[in-house]
Amino acid sequence: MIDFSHQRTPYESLQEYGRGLAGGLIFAMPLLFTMEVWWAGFILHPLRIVFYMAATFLILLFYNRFVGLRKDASFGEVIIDSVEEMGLGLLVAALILWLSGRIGADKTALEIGGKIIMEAMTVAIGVSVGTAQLGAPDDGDEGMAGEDGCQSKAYLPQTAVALCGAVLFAANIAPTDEITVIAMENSPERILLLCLFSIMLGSLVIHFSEFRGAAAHVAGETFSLKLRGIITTYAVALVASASSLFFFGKFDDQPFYIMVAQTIVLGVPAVLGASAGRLLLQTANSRS
Amino acid sequence: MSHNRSESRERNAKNPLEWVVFGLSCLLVLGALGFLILTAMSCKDGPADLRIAVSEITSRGDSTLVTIILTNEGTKTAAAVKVHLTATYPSEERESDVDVDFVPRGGRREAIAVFSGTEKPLTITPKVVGYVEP
Repeated sequence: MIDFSHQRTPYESLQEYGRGLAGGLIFAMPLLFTMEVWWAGFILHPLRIVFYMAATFLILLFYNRFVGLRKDASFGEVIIDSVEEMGLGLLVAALILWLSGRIGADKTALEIGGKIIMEAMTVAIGVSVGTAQLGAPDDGDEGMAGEDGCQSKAYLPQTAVALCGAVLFAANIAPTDEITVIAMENSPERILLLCLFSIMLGSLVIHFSEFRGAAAHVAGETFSLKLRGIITTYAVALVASASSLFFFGKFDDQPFYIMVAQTIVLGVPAVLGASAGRLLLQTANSRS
Repeated sequence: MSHNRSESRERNAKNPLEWVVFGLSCLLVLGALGFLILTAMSCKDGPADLRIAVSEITSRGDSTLVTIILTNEGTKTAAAVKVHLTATYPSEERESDVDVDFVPRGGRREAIAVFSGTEKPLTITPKVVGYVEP
């Protein structure tokens, strides 16, 4: 029997689902109105979409474990919440795609299913963030932002939250053709400059600009800790970029240099997610 | 405070609405996974296989509109599909071109080719002249 960390009335549950719905739409609206994502739904091999679902489920588990739920949530509860968020994501994506005329009886099941699932994954992450972050500060869903969050600076949890933030930012831009265009049309020197700019951007946010939440969630007492934070933030951004590009089929048939260049280009928004996004995800619900 | 929380946790349970939402979510997620895996198993490697047919010829203003239906019976999506149509009249032949963004695998798309004049052609010959496999 799962020991749940909360007890809610049906009305409170409805309110929570409402927050999740709003969050899902806030974070995934750009993707719901992006053609390249609709196309990915019927261009990609179904097995790759399965892997995309699995990767998204992993992100949801990370997020719900380290940010979205209370500290005392059991692993079973985290799984249940992640499944619910994915289910809500599928429903919301289907509704928006139908309302905007992107799915209908004239399309095949594979096209409809592919479009819904590709869109629903980002909606699910948005549902997760919305459920945790858009509520009143006293409803208990504080995660590591809670006043006694013992893991508020721990390396692995912070890396996991950074990955969630980076994916949220990268997934919204990865499907667009602009990333490939920038990667193809710019010289290696300029791509290198983008790389350095991303590292500086991450450093600026987590260590030098006294960003809200940085004091509570960034370990930077020594130079080596600062350096580790900067390198990890950029590495996480690159992982999120490369994964998003792969799942949206942007690496297909590309030469290795273009794949690297695409990853670095998408690393610019991803590093913002891994740094500023990571802090915002943890501070929006805190009392500080 | 943490002591009170752990005491109250023993009584905590999901309400019926939450269980219903969880049950429906399980169905949706497992259904989506099952659908994708089944589709992947039946999805063999091969090119797009485009078929084209004329479905309707109508007149509007001073033009003739020819509706064509493209179906893709292959296993890959066809993108940037170019269709060339030749309309035969008693005295001449007229030509028209249509571009279609995508025809998904197993899917179909409708497109309309426009010919000048309202005279009904004797025959319409549509032909796919090129496409890209994205």
